[in-house]
Amino acid sequence: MSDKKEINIVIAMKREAISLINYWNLKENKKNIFSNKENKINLIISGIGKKKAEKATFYIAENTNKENFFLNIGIAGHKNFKLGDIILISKVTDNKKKISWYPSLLWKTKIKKSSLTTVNFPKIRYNTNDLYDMEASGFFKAARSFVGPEKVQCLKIISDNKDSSILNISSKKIEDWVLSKTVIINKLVNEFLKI
Amino acid sequence: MIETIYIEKQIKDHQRTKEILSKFKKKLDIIYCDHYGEIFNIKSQNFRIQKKKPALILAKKIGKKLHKIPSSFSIGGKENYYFSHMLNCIYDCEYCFLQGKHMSAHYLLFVNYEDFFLEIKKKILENSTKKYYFFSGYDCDSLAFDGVTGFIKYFLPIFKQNKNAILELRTKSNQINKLLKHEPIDNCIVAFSFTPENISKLIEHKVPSVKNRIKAMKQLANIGWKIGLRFDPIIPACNFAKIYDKLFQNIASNIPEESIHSISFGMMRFPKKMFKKMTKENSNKRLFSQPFENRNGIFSYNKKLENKVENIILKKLKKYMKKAPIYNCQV
Repeated sequence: MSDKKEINIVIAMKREAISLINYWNLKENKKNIFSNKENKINLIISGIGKKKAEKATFYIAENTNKENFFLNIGIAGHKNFKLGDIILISKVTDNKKKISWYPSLLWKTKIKKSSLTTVNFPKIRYNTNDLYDMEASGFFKAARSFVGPEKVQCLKIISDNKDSSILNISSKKIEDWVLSKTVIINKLVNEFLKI
Repeated sequence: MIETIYIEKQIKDHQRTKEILSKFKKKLDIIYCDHYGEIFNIKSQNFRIQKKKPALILAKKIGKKLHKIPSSFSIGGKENYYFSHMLNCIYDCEYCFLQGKHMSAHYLLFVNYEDFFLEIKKKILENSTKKYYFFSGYDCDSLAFDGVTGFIKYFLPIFKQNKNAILELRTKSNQINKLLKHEPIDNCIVAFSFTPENISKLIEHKVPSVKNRIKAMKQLANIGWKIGLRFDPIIPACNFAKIYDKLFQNIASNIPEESIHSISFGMMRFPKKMFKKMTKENSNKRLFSQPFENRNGIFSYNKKLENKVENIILKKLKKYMKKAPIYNCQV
C-alpha cells in the first residue's frame, strides 16, 4: 500500500467514537473530520441510520482519498452473543432492499465473524442468527462505490441480546464497551492499513 | 489454506457440498449467498490481494457447461470441448491467464457434477462413431485441488464407461494418489504442464518442483496411464534453448516414449482485455517486458520471436521424443 493511503472510519454516534478519538489522539478539522495523519486515520460521526451513514461515507471519501480503506465501527444486537463482544462482519444485508455485500476476509484474527442485517428501526426481536444494526448497509453502499471488497470492512460491538434489550443500553456502557476493545480495534486497523 | 467458504443457498444440502465440508478439519467461516456472482463477479476486486488468502465458493453451474475449443488447440481430435467444474487455481503462475479472466481470485467450485456429465453424455450420443475430446483443466488445475473436489472419483468411472469420450486431465500438481489407486483407462490422458525448473521456481509460485512432477508422471506411466506433455506457455528466457533441452532430456529419460500420448506447446497469448488487466496488475514483472504484439485482438510475442522459438522447441522435442505426436497451439 502507498504511504498516502489512510483509513476512513465511519461511526454513528459520538459516544461510540469518543474512546477511539482519545486513543488515536484524533483532532477535528474544519470539515468535521477527526484525523491523525501520522496514524493515517480519519474518522467521521455520521449520525444514526443508513442514510446518514451513506452520506457521511461519501463526505469523508470526497474530503480525503477515495482509494482509502473504509471501516464502519458501531454497536449492534444479536440473539446470543455476549454484551461487549467484538465481531468482524462477513456479510451485510440491507433488510429493505435485500442487497448484500461480502467483505473479503483476508485477516489473520481471532475475532469472531458473523453476518449482519441493517434495519431501519431498532430491533427488539432477533429473528435470525444475524447481527442487527442501522448503518452498515448505507456505509457499504457508499464505500463500495469507491473501492473493492478487500478495502471495506465493518466491526461491531454487541450492545443488546435476547437477555438484555436495547432499553438497557446507556452512553456509559457504550463508551466502556468500545474502550475495552480499543487495543483490538487498533491492531486490526493496522492490519487493514497494510494492504 | 481455506478459512472461508461461501455457499449458495440452493446447494447447501447437496450431498457433494456436505462431502466437501467434511474434508475440512479446521473451523471454517461459512457464509451463505443467493448466487456466487455476488462475490465472484463484482467489480473492483483486487485479484493480487485476494490471491493471498482466497476463499472457496460452492455453487451450482447453470446454463451451458461444454465449450468448443478451436481446432488449433487440439491434441489430435476434431471434436474438442472444455468444461470447468472449477474456476481458478491453487497455484499462482505469473503468466496464468486466469488472473486476467476472472474478477476474483477465490476458488469457485460447481458441485453439480451430474449436470456436467449429462451434457457430456448428450454430446457423445450425437455420433457414437466419433471421438470427442473433453478438457477439464482450462479454468483450473484438474488434479491440484482433487483432495477437496472429489473430481477424479466422480468423473473417471464415467469416462471408463464411455469410450468415445476422451478426457484430458491437465495439471501442474503431483496429486496422483487417486489415479494410482484407479486402474488406468485408455481414454484418459494425464497431461503435465512444464516450464524448465529455474523458470518454474521464479514464476510458478506454489507449484511442485519439476523433479517431483516428473516423479509423479513416471509413477503413472509405469502403471499404464497415458501421459500428455504440455509446454504451454513457452517462456523465452535467457539460455532458453539450453534449459528447455535439459528439461526435454530429463523427461525423456524418465518416461518411456510409448506412454506419451501427445506433446503440445504454445506461446504466451492473451485476449486484449485480459492482457491489459494482467499487465496493469503485474507492471513490475519481467515476464511482460517481452515484445508482445496485437494480432487480431490476441496479444502474443511478435512473429519473428515466435518463429524462432517454435523452430528451436520443435527441433529439441524431436531430438528426444521422436515418435510422439507434437502439436503447436497457435494463435
